[in-house]
Amino acid sequence: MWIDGLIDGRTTRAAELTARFAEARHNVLAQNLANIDTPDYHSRNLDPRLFQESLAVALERATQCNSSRLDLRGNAQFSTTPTGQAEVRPAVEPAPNVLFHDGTNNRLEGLIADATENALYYEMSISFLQNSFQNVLSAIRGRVA
Amino acid sequence: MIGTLDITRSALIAERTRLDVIAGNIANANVTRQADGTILPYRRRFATFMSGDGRGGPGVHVESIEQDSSDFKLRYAPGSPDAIPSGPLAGYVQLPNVNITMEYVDALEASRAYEANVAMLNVTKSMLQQAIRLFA
Repeated sequence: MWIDGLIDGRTTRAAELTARFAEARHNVLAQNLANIDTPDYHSRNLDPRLFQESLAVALERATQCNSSRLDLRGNAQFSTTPTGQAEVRPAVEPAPNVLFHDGTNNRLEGLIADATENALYYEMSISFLQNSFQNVLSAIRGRVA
Repeated sequence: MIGTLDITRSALIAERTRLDVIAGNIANANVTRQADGTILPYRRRFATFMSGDGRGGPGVHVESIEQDSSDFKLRYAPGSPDAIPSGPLAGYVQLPNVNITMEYVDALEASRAYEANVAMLNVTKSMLQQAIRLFA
């Protein structure tokens, strides 16, 4: 049905995946912040650039096959299983400073900045989803707004 | 996303416990006797943090409250009933190994970490609210 196409489009899927990625990254950042005073804790992260690259590849492939299914493969940190579940494997961040004797990398400002950026990223994908649902609603009502 | 709230909660509890321990150290900074009346100064205590919420989940928890084994401070006060009566240190009173300045700095660190986690809680909350708006 055409309404399936409207809701189940590739772009909607991409926005959904983006929101899920942002949620997973937020979880990782919260763990880092919770352990800011834990000795010997090494902070972990999910790389948004890596995610965007694999999302671009997945979109390309889906366009070629003309399907709305997006599979994130080949991404070591965030990928989807054949059942559509997300697999999250955060990577340990390098600790380039020599400030802490136990080799941890607790950078409070960086974590807060990352969390803020990530929240905006989440908001962007959620607003996109909201808009696309609003469009469907407009189509059902048959009038704008 | 609800799990993220649990992570932040565990951090808030841990930092609060740490602040409690620091408050105990400052409160006992001049104590020269134990609860049962024996003349032995208070030993500084500190909280050790460990990753994980202690029940297998993600987060942080206070693994143990340890006692600082460093030497007690000495003050020469021969008139005090708590002074050492004989030996090379006769006339000295043993005072707790609590350094108020250090405790203040620790307290500042704990309270800043607490603040940062509250900020994270607010970010999580606003993200959840956005997700809930999708239903509306």
